[in-house]
Amino acid sequence: MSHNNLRYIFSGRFDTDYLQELYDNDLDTIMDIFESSVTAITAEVGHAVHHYHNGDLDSLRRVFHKIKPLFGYVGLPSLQEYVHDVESKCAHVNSVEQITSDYERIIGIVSDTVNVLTQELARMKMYSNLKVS
Amino acid sequence: MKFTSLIVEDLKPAADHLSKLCERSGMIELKGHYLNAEDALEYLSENLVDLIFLDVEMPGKSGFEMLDQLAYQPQVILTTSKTEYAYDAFEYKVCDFLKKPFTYQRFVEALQKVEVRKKQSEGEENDQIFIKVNGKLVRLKYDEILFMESMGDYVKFVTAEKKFITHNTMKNLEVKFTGQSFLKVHRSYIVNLAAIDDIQENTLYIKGNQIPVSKANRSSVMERINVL
Repeated sequence: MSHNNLRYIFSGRFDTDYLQELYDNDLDTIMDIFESSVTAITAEVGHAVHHYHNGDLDSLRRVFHKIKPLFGYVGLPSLQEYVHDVESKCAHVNSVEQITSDYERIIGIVSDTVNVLTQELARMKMYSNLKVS
Repeated sequence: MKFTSLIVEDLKPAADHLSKLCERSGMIELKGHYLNAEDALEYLSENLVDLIFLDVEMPGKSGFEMLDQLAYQPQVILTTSKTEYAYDAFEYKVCDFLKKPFTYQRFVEALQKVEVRKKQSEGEENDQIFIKVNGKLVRLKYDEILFMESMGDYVKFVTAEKKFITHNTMKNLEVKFTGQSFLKVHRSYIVNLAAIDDIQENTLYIKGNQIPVSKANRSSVMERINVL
């Protein structure tokens, strides 16, 4: 019996339908995008910490702007919306202290999300190898 | 037909995704991907492209600042995650506005808008001609031209308002105006068929001007006009 038609099932946090629509079920593309997103998110969060501690609100907003769609690209659209809200909030405050709670929450989310993405990537690679064999 | 295109985007996953969509569509000949506006401008100062997929917020110049510096106006599809730019997009006459991330279907819809706009602009280019008069180029819409009259090495273009004399030959114009609503009716005249008021024997009348129709061309005239 062939298993080649078995579809990859993303773990609970990911919006599977959204991802499959976005990438037309192309798992190789999804893996590439996950990999480059993890790299980009990790780099950007480092910039965010730097800008927060320097009190550079505009640069911090720019980092949120850059991180935001990455959550969309990895099938986490609700996180994209949340970061969008924080980015908008940045435009209406005067200092980084006024968004400290959001900043800390985003840093926590990003750290958690990078772990989840890395695990999901490992699952996808395993599935991909299974299909080939 | 493929659109030669450039991606200007600082986010690698977004650029990778977009490249895949371009490849899948079969409608795009991708000339490159630049991470910032400055590098893209350098490329665009020496190369023409039909279409730019342009992010707005990038390190250095923004996408809109880049458009301000371009020496020509290719079609633009904005790719951004901020819908607040929609008004600016309208101001810059961009073809479409894609909110990241976007699906293949939405991407194709944007390309269809590019195609429609390209056809419209080609239509605009095809309904007019520039003629050299007294050292300057004068634009004439085809439907403004009543007829053209040979004057040896010169040709007189007659419109309802004015007459323009330009250095050219009827032979050249015959080729140039093929496919339009113009017809050579005499060795010295090419007329706009839509401007003819009436025809009597071997003469046709356009806004009070009498134009001879040669025997050799009369049958062509009768074939082209809509006789009841």
